Amino acid sequence: MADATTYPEIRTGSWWRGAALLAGIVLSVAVFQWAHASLPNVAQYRLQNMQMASLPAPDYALASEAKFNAHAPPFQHNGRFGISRIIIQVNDPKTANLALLIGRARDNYEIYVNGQLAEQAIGVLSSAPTLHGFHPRLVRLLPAFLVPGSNAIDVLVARNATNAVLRDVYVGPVGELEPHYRLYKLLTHDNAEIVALLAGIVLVFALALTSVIDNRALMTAICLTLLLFVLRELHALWVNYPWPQMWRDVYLNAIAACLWCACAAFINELTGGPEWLRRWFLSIGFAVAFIDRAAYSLYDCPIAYGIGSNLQAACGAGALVFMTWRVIRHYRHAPDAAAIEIFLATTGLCMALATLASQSMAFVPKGMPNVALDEGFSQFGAMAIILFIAANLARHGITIYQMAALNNETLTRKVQEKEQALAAQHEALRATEHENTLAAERGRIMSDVHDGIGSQLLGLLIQAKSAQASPERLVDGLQAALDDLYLVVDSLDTVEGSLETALGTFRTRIEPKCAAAGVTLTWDMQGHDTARITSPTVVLQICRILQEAVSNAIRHGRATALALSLSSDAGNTVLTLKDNGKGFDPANVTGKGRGLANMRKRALSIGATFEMSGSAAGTTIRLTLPV
Amino acid sequence: MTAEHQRLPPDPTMPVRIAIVEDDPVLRGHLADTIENVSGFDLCGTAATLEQGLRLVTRCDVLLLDLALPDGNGLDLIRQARARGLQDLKIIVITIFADVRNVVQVIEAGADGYLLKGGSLTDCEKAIRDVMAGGAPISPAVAGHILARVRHHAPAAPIPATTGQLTEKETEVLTELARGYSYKEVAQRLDISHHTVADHVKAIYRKLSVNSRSEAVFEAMQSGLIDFNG
Repeated sequence: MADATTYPEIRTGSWWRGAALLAGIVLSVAVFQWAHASLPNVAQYRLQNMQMASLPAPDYALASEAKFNAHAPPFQHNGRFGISRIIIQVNDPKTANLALLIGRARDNYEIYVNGQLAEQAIGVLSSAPTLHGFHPRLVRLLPAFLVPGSNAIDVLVARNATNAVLRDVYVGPVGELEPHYRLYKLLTHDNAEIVALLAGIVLVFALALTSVIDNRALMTAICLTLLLFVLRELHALWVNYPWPQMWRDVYLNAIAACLWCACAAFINELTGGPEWLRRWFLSIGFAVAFIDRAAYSLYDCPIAYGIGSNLQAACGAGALVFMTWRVIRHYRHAPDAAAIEIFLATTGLCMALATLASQSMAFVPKGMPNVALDEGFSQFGAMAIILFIAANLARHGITIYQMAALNNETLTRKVQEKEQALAAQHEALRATEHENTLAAERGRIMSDVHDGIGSQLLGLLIQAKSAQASPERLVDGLQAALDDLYLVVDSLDTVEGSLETALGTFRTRIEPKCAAAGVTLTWDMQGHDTARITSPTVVLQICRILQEAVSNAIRHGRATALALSLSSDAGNTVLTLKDNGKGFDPANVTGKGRGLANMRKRALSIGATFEMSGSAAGTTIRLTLPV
Repeated sequence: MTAEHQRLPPDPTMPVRIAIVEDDPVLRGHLADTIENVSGFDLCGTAATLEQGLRLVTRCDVLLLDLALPDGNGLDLIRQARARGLQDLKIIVITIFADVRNVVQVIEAGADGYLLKGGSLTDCEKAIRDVMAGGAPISPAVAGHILARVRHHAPAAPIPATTGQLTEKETEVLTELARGYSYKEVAQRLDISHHTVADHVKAIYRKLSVNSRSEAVFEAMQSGLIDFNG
């Protein structure tokens, strides 16, 4: 795995791009405002241009005087309503098979045919008029209500605060209207559930990401919007809700404000603008949107409605344009990981376009803007942009998580590698140390063997070859060589032991010889064990000295008793070997002095003092080992 | 119960049947000559390999065993003989140096004693008679080694106290032996009989052998070879 940790690239757009987006929104607001102002009766115009010609055998006709008038209903309602009157010419009521399609009714419509109440959904009509109906209705006009000739159909629906526009009421044969009805149902009614579900999922996503994404303003705005979306859609699905209509307005106001914030924050993110701008942009935008919606909802302010509605439409349209641009750009450049964003954005776009198309399909007059633009754009455009942003952020978040995980993995791997390297180094050091120890030990044994048994064997070999030596002498020599080998081996055994133990082992080697020579050996270890063995060399040299001394005493001194004692004197360890042999005068020793010289040399090599004193009564050897 | 267990205790009037397992023909011959010259000893067979030696174990009272055999280590023969329930068989290991490492291993495997190769006839005879009489040889170095090991292991000994630790008297005996004193001297110094010293040493032998087995079990448990909970 490569060490290079590449972080996802966060593209930052330029100032002009942000400015262009803002300008586009402002321009759109102006255009829509102008359209509303210059075409006050769009709905009537549309109805007048309804295409009825597609009917194969029209049993009715739209009367020429058909128009929409906001006139008084047959009874007084306590609310805001628009009453639309449609005059149709029916030839034969029994075969006409007519129906009314109410695109956005909740439960608040009444239909009068020729002054008679033909269909009523009065549930909350009197108490809670709604601004936006959601449940589309296909209402059949029964033949009993119709008369041959001219019929007046009055549809009473909730009206807007300002204009008594007909909100998607169509008349036509059942077979013709039914597909439209189904499409409406899918896009408005059923769609609410989908939107609520999707928004809920994305909300969870977005909430999970708030700790990762740096731009808190953006994340907060998105989360709030999504939350409100969920509430709003759930609210809309609740047909007979027990709380005041005001709640719906609250949602709408808040959503509009949050949408503004999200757009602003996103633009700020895109342009990489300074902090103060983001703050001002957000607060002013929020305030404007909120006050506008509040004024509209609470005081029926027409201007506020116009601005708010057009602002919505402009934001929605802008969002859709932006989304289209992003989708195209993604299709051309984006990595595969962006697929989910593309999917969501495309879904939002398609839903918006489908809404517009369905509303325009049969009834939109040529060359006229659709009055549902604001809602179509804002609703689906906003949803699309929010889903897109959330998915985009989610993708970045996931990448960041992956990077973190990768970093963690890399770190763990590096630590493991280091540990392994250390372990290997440690092992190598140990091996070297072991080798050094072995080499030192080998060297010591070599020198011990060379010093003792090697030279002894060599001497014996030469004597044996030249046939100078008697068999007894050869046996003696071999025994001496073997004895020395025993000492070497014993010295290795006493590494962890005490000097007493080492001497004890030595005793087991010389005891049989003493016994064979009839010499009694007295052993006196004076119960102190202070002299710890420091090295096998010391043990070996001490034992060699003692061996030499014992041999001398038996062979040359003809001793019959030997005594070895271990004691301490002024902190030093003192070894004393006494015999009762004939003794000798150290000053006189010359010829046999090689053994004596050897003993001195060995004592010197281990830092010990060797003293020898002799008299006719015996010889005493004293070996003093410093602490 | 195996047949070996039901054997009668050695009859003093019967000759001691001795077998030799040694791959060096010279040393083997020397040992065989030595034994045949001793009255009361009966050489019942010699072997040069582990395999041949295994066939001898049921036919003798004393086995003189070399460790370095061409087809394996003599320690395995000791363990197999003990595992087959041959508890009365006296096994004496013949060694060149009687060095600590070898001797301790031999004791732990369950041998009854050891004998220096190339020793005199009397050495050999004495060693066999000692072992037959229930004695056990122990050198100062071996004693020192056991003492050091007991001191080293005692505080955190995972082995049951009854088998894992030496008694105070045994420790005293070992300490004296480690200083190079003979059995007789130790008996005098500690004011006990010569036989008591030998008994203590025999007990130490047994503990070493048992310990080595329980240590093996403990280590096997530690390393997961044996699982009592499974």
